[in-house]
Amino acid sequence: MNNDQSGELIQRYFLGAISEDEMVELDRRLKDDEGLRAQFAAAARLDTNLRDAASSFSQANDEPKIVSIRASRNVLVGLGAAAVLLLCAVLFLQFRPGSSLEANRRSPEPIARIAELNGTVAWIGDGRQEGESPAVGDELTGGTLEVSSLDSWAEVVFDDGSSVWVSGPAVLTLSDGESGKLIRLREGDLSLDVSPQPPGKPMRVITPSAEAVVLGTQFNISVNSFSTSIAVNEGRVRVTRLADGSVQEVEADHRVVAALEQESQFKAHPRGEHVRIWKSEFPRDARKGKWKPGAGGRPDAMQAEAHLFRGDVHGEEIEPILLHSVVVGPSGGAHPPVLLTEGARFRIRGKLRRSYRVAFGFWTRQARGGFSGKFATKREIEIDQNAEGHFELELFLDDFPRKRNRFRRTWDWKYPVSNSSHLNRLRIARQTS
Amino acid sequence: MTMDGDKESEFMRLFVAHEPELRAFLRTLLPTWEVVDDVFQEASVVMWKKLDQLEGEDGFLPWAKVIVRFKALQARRTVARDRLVLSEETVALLAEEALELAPDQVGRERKALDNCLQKLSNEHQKLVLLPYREPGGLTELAQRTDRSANSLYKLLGRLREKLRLCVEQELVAEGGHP
Repeated sequence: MNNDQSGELIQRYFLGAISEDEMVELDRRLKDDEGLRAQFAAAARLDTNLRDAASSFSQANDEPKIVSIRASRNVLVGLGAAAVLLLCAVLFLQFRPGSSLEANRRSPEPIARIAELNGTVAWIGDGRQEGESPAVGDELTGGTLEVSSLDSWAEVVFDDGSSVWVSGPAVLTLSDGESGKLIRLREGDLSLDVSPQPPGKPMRVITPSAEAVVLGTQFNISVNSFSTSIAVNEGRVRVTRLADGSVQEVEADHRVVAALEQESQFKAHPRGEHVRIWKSEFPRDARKGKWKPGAGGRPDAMQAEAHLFRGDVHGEEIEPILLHSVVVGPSGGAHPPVLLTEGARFRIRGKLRRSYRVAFGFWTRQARGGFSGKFATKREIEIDQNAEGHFELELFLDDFPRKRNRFRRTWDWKYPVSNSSHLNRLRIARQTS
Repeated sequence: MTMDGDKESEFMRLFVAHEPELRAFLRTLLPTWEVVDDVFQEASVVMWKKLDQLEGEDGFLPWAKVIVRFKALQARRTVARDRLVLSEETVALLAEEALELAPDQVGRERKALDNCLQKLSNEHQKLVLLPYREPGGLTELAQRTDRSANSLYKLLGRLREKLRLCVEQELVAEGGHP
């Protein structure tokens, strides 16, 4: 067997197409040939880098676009722990009236302050060390707020009273320059209550797929890997789809979805009726976690993503906890809002490597307005080995103790370290019996 | 390295910074990405638990690789029951040699890969990325294009080998060692 054939064997190995005989031959050659082992290791690194390149590759675009940055790497890739499921339901946030956001990267003057926060929140900004945890009342200059974990949230209030409520996981950058205030939201959910802005200086909210120009209004914005959804409760927001520069004026009680590609519809439409039944569909509803397309009869799944939970910052000290989590939700895409009413049921289908205590939670918005609360519960999931780790669970709305509105208390999410978990499906339904 | 106080954030910074090297290291030792991802998670938990053993920022990668290697060899024995795997002796040799790799090698090759991908036609770019974007996509593509899966694998193998050589040449051209 010559060198070309050795190279072919190596590639077949990494493509998962190697036969048993070929494997024996490859193993024999690797054992005897240091040069071939170096080639094999280089092929492994190529496989790693191709995988990374594929995650940066525009899936929505037929024409390939190779992106050189490691866009897919999560800043807080973490370790260990239990599966935490958080789903977003219902719509629209209620927010305190506010006005402008003020921040100039060059200016040491504070532009806003932290009004409330919970969970893992990091601030990277002028005058602060990287990743420092802010406290309530801290004044902020321009910078980046990382609200990392599922139970995390923060409210930032600007000098003019405008407020931004952000629900984790989310990453946003605040700044203010001569052209007005600017919020960059890479991922996550925001609810904004924006006071009238000075003439010629609108607030702008920029996401990977859209730009919203705001003069003064109340609206909610959800960003995922594929699209930006904007729902306006009061006033008017001008939204530009960055894929092609097309513009939509979104009035009160209307919403629009701007996708990364141009093929999907980009048109503001009335918010419409709520639905009471919703079933997850991946990757459409994926908010956090790794999408694993189904194959060979296996359904689509979201694999839990690890992160570090450092607890509440309101005086209570806890040891950092390693968690795995999946976040799905109907609010990020074009799906109508899901209304939760008495008797609502949650059916969750997933897979665990072994038995764990698992936390399930969700957060809600008011029917017309802002954040209304977070809910959470925990369950021991006993895995039947005959079922290969698969489980199905049904929870009722009453099973979720309500956390306080705009709560300050700690979410008590402490779980043993565990391994990977998957979510196959989440379904919300009305009670039928 | 002082890991008191902010030790977790410091650990996370190092962990994220070296993640590509650690994943590539694991890929050298384990047969599939599924196994790599599982072992990576297990190893990262061990790293976190043993954080007190870490001395100095520069020591992170070698220290982490030792943990990762141990977990990989354990996993190899488990998956050998139902998968095609390299022998333990070969994996041990690969691990030993991969420990010596320059810390920035994977990152440099990643950048070079971008240039190399641009040299491929659009069709070939899509093809080499397809297995990562759509598991099972190659078989479907073979059916769709009326080609045998084997011929598609051969073409893909040639393209990947071409990319590997291109990356090597790019690194030589930039003045470093391949």
